Amino acid sequence: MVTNQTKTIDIAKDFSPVPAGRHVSDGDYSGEFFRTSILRPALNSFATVEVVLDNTEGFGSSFLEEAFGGLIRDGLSAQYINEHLFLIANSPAGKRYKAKIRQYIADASKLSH
Amino acid sequence: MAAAWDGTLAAIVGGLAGAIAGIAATTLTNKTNRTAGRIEKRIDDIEAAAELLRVEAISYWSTAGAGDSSVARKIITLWETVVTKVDSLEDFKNQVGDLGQVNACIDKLYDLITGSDFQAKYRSADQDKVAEIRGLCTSLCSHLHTSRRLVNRWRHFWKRRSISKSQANDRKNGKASEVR
Repeated sequence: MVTNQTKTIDIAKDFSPVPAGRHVSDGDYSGEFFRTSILRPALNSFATVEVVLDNTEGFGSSFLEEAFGGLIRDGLSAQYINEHLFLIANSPAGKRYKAKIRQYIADASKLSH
Repeated sequence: MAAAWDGTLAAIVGGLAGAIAGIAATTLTNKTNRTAGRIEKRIDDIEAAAELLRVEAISYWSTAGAGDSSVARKIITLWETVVTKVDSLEDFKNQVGDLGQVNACIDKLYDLITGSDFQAKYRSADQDKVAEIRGLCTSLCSHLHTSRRLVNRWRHFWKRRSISKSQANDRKNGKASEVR
């Protein structure tokens, strides 16, 4: 059941300050694990989900692509993701990550058609 | 007598105006030099961080590996350092010009270096990727050189301008004294 509430996921606090890797086989805090254990369940249960990107030790594009681009391969549409998922970043690198995530979602969407 | 006083007063006023113009020109030149120095220091820092990133990234992708997560983390930190330093250059857009191409290089480097099997449990060496990293780092440095040239051009423009203004004032004051 989807509530009208907003769920905030602070990756550094709620997942790991050191996220790394693409697949679950790559390590304990991979993009795939973040998507399947935290992000996708939140999108299933809440009307909007905010993801805070600051305060981690940074992300590889392998992590970000799998975590966010993987939502498309999971069956969600880019439109749905853009309407329900909000990214929060204040640092210069965080802002780059934010733009990259939007790009990975768009790229995965193009590939899925 | 009154005419002599007028002449003396005019000379004093002219001299003062010349001195003030000279001080203003020197102040402007000094300020321009300081700003240009600050910008060049930032460009130096970006180049240094980009060089470290290049070395680490090439080493990472030149060899197959497993369990070298600290190297991967170092690469991400270096990339973030480059991003933060380039971001600090945005305050000086008038002097360094458009940073669009620098930013495009940094974005491409991010995808190239930290994509595919980056931070994977086992990683194969990828010589094509190494060649691409080299090429992109060369492009990045070339765009930074362009920014550096623009800063120098800006510095010389203001230097020339302040010198010519100062000379014009000297000439004006000299002519005023000669007329009197």
